[in-house]
Amino acid sequence: MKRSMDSLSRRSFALFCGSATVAVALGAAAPETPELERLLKLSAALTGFPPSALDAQFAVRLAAALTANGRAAELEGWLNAPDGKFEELETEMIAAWYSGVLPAPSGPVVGNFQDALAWTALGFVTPPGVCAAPQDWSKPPQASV
Amino acid sequence: MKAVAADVVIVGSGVAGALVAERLARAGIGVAVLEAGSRTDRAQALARYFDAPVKTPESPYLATPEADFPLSADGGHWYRQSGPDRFKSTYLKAVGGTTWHWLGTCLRFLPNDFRLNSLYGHGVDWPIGYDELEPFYLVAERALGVAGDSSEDLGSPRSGRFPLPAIEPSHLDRVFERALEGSGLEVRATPQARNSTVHDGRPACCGSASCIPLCPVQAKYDATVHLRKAERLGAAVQERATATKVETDANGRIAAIRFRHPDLSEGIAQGRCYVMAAHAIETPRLLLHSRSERTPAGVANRSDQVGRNLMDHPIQLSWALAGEPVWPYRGPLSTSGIENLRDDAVRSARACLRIQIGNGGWTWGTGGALTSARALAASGLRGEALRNAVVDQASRHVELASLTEQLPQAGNRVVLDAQDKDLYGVPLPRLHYAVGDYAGDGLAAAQGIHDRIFAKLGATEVHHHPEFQGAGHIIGTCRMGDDPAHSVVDPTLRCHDHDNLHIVGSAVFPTSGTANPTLTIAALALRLAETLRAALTGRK
Repeated sequence: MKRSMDSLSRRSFALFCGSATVAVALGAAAPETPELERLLKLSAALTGFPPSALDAQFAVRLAAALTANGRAAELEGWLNAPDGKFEELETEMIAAWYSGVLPAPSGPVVGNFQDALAWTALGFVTPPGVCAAPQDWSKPPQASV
Repeated sequence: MKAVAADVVIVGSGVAGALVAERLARAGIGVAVLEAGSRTDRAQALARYFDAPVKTPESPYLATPEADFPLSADGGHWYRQSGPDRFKSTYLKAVGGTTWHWLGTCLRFLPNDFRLNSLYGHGVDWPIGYDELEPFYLVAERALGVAGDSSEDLGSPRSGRFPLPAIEPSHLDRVFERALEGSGLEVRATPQARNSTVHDGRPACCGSASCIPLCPVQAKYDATVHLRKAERLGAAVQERATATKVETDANGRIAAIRFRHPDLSEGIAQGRCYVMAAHAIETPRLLLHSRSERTPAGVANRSDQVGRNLMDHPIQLSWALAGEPVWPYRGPLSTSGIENLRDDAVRSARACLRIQIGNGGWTWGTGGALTSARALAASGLRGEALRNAVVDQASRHVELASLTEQLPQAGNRVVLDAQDKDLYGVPLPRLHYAVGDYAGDGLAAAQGIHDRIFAKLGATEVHHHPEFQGAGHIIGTCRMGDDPAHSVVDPTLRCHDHDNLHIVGSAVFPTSGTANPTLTIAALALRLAETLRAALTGRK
């Protein structure tokens, strides 16, 4: 019973009412809720990555940021029926996943720079600031992407 | 009151101040360095860079009221700007100065850069020539650990080899080189103060593609290298010590430099001689603020030249999609350039330029690979198709930056703001700045050259930034010259007005040339250090 209460409060706070801070405070590991699973599955369809490649914590923070921007109803509508009526929201979510930057009400906030999907997609790079290998840049990448 | 005494007092701990400090300390001369900023922890700076939503050159560093500095993203932070154009280049206040976020390019000036007026009828000639500086260029390359191709002098004759083998050009550079074969545009490896191999206790470049704003492993030289050596040799670095006034005595010599700490406590630094090494905005600001009965226009300013002739290398930035993958976003942010347009007959009519070939994709123009997905998503792409399009496009991102020569103009200047002051009561710098037609025509010509290059690459989606960019090269403001009526320092970098005050840094450059300024700053600093060493020790 306690578990489901926790689960409920996490879901409602983190995904639809709360802030990213609340989401993070509630647990280092993102809560496993049906909403989160659905959010990850739909994000996977948007981004072209499998759900397992997506950071659940980032998903929770993204939902919280959109909620804090007054887009909870839109997000809920999209989660229930992602039928192409939410193009602008989808673009916003894709931009966030690929850049690792969250659209917080106070302005953009970095959620996860090093795991931004742009770097994962490119495959042939390390994120800026992260060492690759000496003189690697003088040749085309080894592994094809 | 804190009292600092040394043979030589240096204001500023960037590359100029650090090199002078190290050379003098090595000769057994007592050195004190006043630095407004703090020491930077590299790991913490890297974390701040990762966490910054916009990766500006300043993003890893802390601008605080106690040591504030201009920000690329906000032209009204610290600078007060009168226009007509916005001055876009910035600097840090930190132990080690702005070398924390420099690119590392180490080009020498060309011999003709010292004779712009005689040869092309613009600006002024330098009071020294290339031949006089050449030995010091060589010493500077050794000090900074420049990696370069010794068989290629890039128009600046060499009396010796680079200390390190060249940094490998990127695959992208080779694509440009092949495409431009026979075009008259020569792609050449850029000499750079970046380790191509383990050197001076620092590792080889690991290709983090983040040189601006931060090298995570210090493979790129920064001035903390020489500060550390200087401190080991006995030099005292006073951090968080902002110089607020230069005081003179009745004989017109410098008597002391006053400074303040963040808690507003005061200090006084005294020595036999003094070196201003606070870069080309803060040096004139401090001199102008040091007004007294004896120096009514400020210290070293009987010529009224302090603060004038502010220059940059205004940049035309352009980006496009290459016809084939070039695999950018890897390696140092630039490893090659086109250097054979830096001096030719057109210099009589408009600015010459050098072209920097970027390895950083569209980072400067658009934010780069991180922002590609948004545009592609907005065009309707989703899922696998989106992901493939991101890879297809970002692997073809190319970017060119042409750095143009800007002429010295007396009206382009740093003055003291009439209202706004810093924490210590010193007026903020107010800038008057116009790019001017000479550089403006160079920027326009650059667009045409970029178009030609992109066409050779089979590139599409060509974008020219509609506004000039700052190169981060702050030049002029305390010009060197023979005539005390028209210059601030003499050819030995001693102030005409005060025989124990010297100025180092790009502030003393009479003209800007097109070479990134740091190697020339270093060569001039090492030349000054040699002069001071000989004078203070009495040994040749």
